[in-house]
Amino acid sequence: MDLDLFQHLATGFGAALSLKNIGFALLGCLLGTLVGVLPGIGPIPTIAMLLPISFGLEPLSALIMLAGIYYGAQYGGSTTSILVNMPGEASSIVTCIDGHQMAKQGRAGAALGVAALGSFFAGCFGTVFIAAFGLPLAIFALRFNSPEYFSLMILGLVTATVLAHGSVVKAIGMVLVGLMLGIVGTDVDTGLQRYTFGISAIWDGIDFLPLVIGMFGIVEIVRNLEQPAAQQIAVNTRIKGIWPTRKDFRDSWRPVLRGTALGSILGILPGGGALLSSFASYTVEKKIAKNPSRFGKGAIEGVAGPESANNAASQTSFIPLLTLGFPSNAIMALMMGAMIIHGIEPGSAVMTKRPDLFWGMIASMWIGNLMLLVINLPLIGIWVRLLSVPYRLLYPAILLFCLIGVYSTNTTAAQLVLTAAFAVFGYVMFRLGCEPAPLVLGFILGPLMEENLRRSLVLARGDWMIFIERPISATLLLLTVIVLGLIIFPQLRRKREETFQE
Amino acid sequence: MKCFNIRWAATRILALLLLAGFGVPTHAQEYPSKDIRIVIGFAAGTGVDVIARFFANKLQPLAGKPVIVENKVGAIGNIGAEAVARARPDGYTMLIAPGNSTMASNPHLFKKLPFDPAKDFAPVSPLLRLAFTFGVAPSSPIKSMQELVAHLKAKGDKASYGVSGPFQTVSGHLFKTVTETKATAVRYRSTPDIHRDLLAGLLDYMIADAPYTLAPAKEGRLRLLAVATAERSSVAPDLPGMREAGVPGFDLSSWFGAWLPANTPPEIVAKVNKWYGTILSQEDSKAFIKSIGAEPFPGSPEVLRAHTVSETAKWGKLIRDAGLPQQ
Repeated sequence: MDLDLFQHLATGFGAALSLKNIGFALLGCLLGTLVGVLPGIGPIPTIAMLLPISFGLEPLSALIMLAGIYYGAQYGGSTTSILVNMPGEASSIVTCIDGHQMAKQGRAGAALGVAALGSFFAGCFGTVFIAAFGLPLAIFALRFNSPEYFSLMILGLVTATVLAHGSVVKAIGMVLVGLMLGIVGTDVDTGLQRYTFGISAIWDGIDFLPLVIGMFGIVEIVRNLEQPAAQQIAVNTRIKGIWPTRKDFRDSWRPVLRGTALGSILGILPGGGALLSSFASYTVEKKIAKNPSRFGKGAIEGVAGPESANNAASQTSFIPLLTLGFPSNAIMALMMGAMIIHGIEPGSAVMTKRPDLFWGMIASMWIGNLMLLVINLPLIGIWVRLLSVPYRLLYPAILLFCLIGVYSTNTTAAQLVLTAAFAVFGYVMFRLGCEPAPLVLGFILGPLMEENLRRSLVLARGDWMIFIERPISATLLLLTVIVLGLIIFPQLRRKREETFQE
Repeated sequence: MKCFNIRWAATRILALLLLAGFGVPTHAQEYPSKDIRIVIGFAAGTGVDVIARFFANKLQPLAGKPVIVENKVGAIGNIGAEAVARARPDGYTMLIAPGNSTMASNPHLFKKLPFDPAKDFAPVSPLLRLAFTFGVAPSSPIKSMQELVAHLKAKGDKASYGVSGPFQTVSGHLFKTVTETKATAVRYRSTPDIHRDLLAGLLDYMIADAPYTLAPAKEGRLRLLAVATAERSSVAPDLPGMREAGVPGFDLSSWFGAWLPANTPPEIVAKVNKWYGTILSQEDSKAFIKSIGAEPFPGSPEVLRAHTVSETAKWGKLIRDAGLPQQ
């Protein structure tokens, strides 16, 4: 097995290291970084737009480029989270919590550096992980069916309350509001509309972007503008060095390892894998920290862990597609489309029939990660300097990019109105000391949880035992009960004040 | 003087606006003199999006102008269709849509449709047909439609099948009516999710589009029993049609077409129809269409109009029989 692995990787690097393929990897990574940095223009529309152009390319080159866009966007997304508190996509929401605080303390460079290096390590590990354990893991992932997903989502939502650095009650409240917002739209089960009030713009539910751009990005701008002009720079203290310090590295290598492990495993699961992994990593780091009160106030572990987790997850999310032909998210579905169009049937046959393609793609992921590091490290200096631009000049640009991003998702003005509404709502919530991150988790996981709950019950003809009879589901529920116990019975916790009520 | 200047400027701007808005008449001979927008009612990356972008790419050299795809997403395609229905009828805003859904089903699924499929559009050309297929898990003992029907009859209402979207819902219902079986529909957000639960043994069978099912079937991760059309399809020539498989009275497929706003000059419609005819006869287009599990469906604007009318009646009956709620 081991020898084979090296031989396979050699085949892969042989295919991926041609000048042309390196060029396409670079192009993909650059494009990905760009769309990741621009709020709103995500990897999905970019890949969709490039799909017809890729018809004319060789299959491997096309796939390498498209994959580069995907993980390039993961890198780029963390940049805006840290610099301007604007998550480009769901998995970088947690990065905002501590990453932006670090930027405000003049440590944007450290946050960006640790994010890039952590992501690089996670990417390398993820690549080897796919090469070594791809198939058995994918087969395990197939054992996750509707009941298992329900239990996983429950666990995710319960742990979401740990994300808040304020009161637990407020965090639970925000999760519930998120759940309610997530319910809006056409019900999958009956096809009926819920809470749409006849407004056609929300028939298909509230979009993710207006919600996060409103509640994170625009609220952040308003908060900054409230301050006296002298302090109005996004970073109101002097920039302390561009690179992470020795202490930063000491503090972050363990979170990076833990995040990578969590991300590698959760990434395989279809649906919210990458998102759950970054939340889970943050939760773990906060739980095991000696002084959890630093979290939410610029703890480097809160950047290092989740950023590594989401990058590892974005690598391993290729496993089900490459080994079994199951797309694990919308982007993988697009990649699958690209493969089919190029005459490659996704699935285990790719490995045996087109080993150059299979291993070439895996090798290109490592090459892509290296490129991203090379692209991103020099950029850190530029990004950090960007923050010293007077805020009165910076914020209109940020606002403009936000609005272009929101509008371009489906080119309707209603999305902009929604964004404005969420900005107002988010500002009120901020004033009340309620944090947006738990709300977003509830918003995303809620509908998935409901869907899987109802589906499981239909499959079991109403028998709730389906969640306990299946071993994976039962284990997840047991974990949920333990987490709940830790929250409800404070005496079980060693440091209760520090964990929730600071 | 200053006041005069402002008034002068205002007049100029107004004149310019008028010119841009109404002044330039559309001459069919000059068409196209600017970019053409193809509007679709579905998100980037969906099957509809891939198909629309393929045609946009192919139209560009024929039109000699850029052809841009715009996603106006929402309400099972209604928002995109409405945008084209309300657009200026000059040939520069075109709709590509799954006709069985946007044109034939939506009038029956929505109480208030923001457009009239019959009156608001000038049909241009039918584009392609997508076959749907019946499949079971490869580990299942079921090897034919007859065996599936026998299995479902024996299992009664304890049997389950997965659906996502109105097409599968309606076809699942029609299948139950025709075969007098009682399986329960379980709803999913996407076809891969259905496939996963089918493999886990939670579902008895699935009905899904050939673009999705052909690849896993070749791989041995899905056993296909028949195509959902009455006769065999060129997409999967090895599979029996429904009549041959012993389920007469079942004939459903999904089809795509292109529409311009009503009152578009007939010369422009004819020109665009010709472009589509050229595209659909090109070898590489045929190869692409086959690779996504579809077959070309060329035809005149009249063919598309007649097809839309007959499909609307057919889907109306199916949707009422299936008892789908109106929104």
